[in-house]
Amino acid sequence: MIEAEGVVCIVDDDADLGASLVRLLRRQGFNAQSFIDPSAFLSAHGNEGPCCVITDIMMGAISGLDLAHRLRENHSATAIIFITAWPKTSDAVEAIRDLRGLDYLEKPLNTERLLDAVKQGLAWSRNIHSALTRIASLSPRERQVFNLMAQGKSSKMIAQELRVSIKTIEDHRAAVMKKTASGAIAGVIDIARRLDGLAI
Amino acid sequence: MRLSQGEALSTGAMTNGRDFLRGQFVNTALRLALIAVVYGAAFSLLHRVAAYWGDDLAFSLWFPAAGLRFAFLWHFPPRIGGVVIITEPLVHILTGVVAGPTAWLIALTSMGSPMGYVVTIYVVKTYFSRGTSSLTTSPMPVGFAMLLCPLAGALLAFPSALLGPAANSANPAWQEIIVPIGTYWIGDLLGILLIAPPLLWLADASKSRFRVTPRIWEATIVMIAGSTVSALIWFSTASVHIEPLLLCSIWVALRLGRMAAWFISCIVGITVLLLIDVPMTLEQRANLHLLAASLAIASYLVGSYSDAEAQMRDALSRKDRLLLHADRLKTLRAMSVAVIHDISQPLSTLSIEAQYMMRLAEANRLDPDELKTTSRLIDRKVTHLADMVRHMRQFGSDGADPARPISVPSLLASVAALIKTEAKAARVNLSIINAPAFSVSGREVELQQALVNMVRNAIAATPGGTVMLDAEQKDGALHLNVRDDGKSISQGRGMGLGLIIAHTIAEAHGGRISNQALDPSGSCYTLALPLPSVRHD
Repeated sequence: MIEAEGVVCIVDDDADLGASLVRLLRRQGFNAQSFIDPSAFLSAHGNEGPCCVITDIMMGAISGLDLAHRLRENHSATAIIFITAWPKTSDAVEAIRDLRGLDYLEKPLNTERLLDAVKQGLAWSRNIHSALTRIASLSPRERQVFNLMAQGKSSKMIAQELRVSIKTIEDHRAAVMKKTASGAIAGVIDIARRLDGLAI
Repeated sequence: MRLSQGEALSTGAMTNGRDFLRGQFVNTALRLALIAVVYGAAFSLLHRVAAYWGDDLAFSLWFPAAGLRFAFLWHFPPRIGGVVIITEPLVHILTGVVAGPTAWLIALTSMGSPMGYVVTIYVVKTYFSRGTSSLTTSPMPVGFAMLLCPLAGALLAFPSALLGPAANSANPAWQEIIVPIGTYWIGDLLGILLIAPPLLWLADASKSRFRVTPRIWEATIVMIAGSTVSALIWFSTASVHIEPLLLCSIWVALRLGRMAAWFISCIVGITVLLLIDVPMTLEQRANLHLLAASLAIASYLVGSYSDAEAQMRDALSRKDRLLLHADRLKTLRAMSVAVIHDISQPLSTLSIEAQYMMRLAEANRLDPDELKTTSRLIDRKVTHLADMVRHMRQFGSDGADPARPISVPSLLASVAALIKTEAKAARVNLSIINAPAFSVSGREVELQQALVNMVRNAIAATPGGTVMLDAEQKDGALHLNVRDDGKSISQGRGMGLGLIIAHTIAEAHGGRISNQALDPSGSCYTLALPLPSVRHD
């Protein structure tokens, strides 16, 4: 069974564990890579496609939490899963609440749970990426209209808010619907919901 | 070959129990009878030996049978006292030492002496063997008993002295009472000092072992020097003086203990008693013998005291070792989260690979390349885990090993390995700067412990900072340095108990720990070990 597109990146300073996880994921049909150094991962990682990161927390100069902070700063649509051999409650709370991690696993790993999280993460990442693709071609003004449309506002209200004529708004609406390939307003709302909270 | 009472009773009927007790009684009676026979034979033999020179007044001092008596009474349990008390008069009668109409009466009074011994030994063992001062630590109690028993024996044998062949006056004057008692005391004492120690050492062969140390050479030189001085005095003044030997034997007793003292007393005794064939007056000869006796008594007591002190030092160092062991266990416990982390890491890889291997085997899909990779990984991780466990077990052990040469690089590496995870958790960058190929003599576990305590202290002082380990030869010593850049504002160095332990260990190795502040912040703690124990590899 070959999973849909997306890459899983493992960041852990234990090279053997990284290699082992890569082999495990590849056996399950995922496209996997491992990195020993978080900075190496950050330089190699672009925002091009769906990506799920499995990162160890205690790694020396840059910890897994630091790594996650940097990923989120760059509006990344990367799913993050944390693994650790030294579980701390404060870390777990920060990982899930602040860094919007998907899961926080203790070593030795429960592989079922890890694979479920990876599947979930990749699905989420794909979702975001497709949403991003769909709004990629919107101009800034169209983007503004899109946001207000997603809030369910009528053209009249949007026109008032943006202090433009209703006719202009109507034109923008049509453009938005076309560019985002949305048949109805539900499509727009769906895209907006996916991107919600990502500060994109 | 004794059944416990419980086992005996549980085998059933009361008749069985009674039979068993009867059997035990017979066993004990036979044993006592055997001891009585052996003792009686030895006693009569030694008595005859003493009688050999009993006519010559000066020689009649030495009563070797007293030594036999003391050794038996001290070594065996109290009921042997009864055996001895009964056997001695019997021997006297059977061998014809006492004869005539009053033989039985005289024989009875000769029970006074062994009775005195029995009572004295009982009192010393009960009241003077407890406690931890050097006067009550073995072998001081037996030394005291050796002094007091003959006195008690002499006092109780006083009636026998009146009735026996030595006294011939109807109304004895004080001198005629005190002199025999004094003679009796010295004679018994010398007999005890010369015969009892080797008998007791033979009986307790497991406990007392003479350790051959370089001090033997010192003792030999000292005794040769003393003998030379005595010989010179004799050559120049033609009179025999063994005072120099007295001083030398006391020194040897102090330095080597009571076994050496006994040995020297024997040599001096034999020389004085048998080998000096110089014409001298009776008074001179008596003085010489008294001096030899004083030498034996004084050196044995001093040797016993020195041995007692050595025993107390051993007890102290055993307690020290317990303390250090407790501290190591405490450190391991404090590091337990780090320890669990270190174990979880390789276990993670192991569990993934082992699970995979199991699935492959169950599905009969054992691809040889996969198998190779997987099993190699499993082997590597298991070895890693085993090393870790061994490491930690060694650190938590009770450290009974003697000092051994330890390589400095491996010492620093093992310390870093123990602390690595804790450092990582505190975001401290721990590194070994310089580890020259020296080797140092010491107990590895204790040196590790001292360094671990110093490094943990440094980590506490600089969370998020840097701690560096290095070793260098400086000022005629080997310096093991732990530097931190002390960025912590509150200087959180803890209660310092770990450092106190480290100081103890340093001193036990003949070294010390010092520290100095670094510029701009932080400190350098140095464990300095003396150079003779350091070799360049």
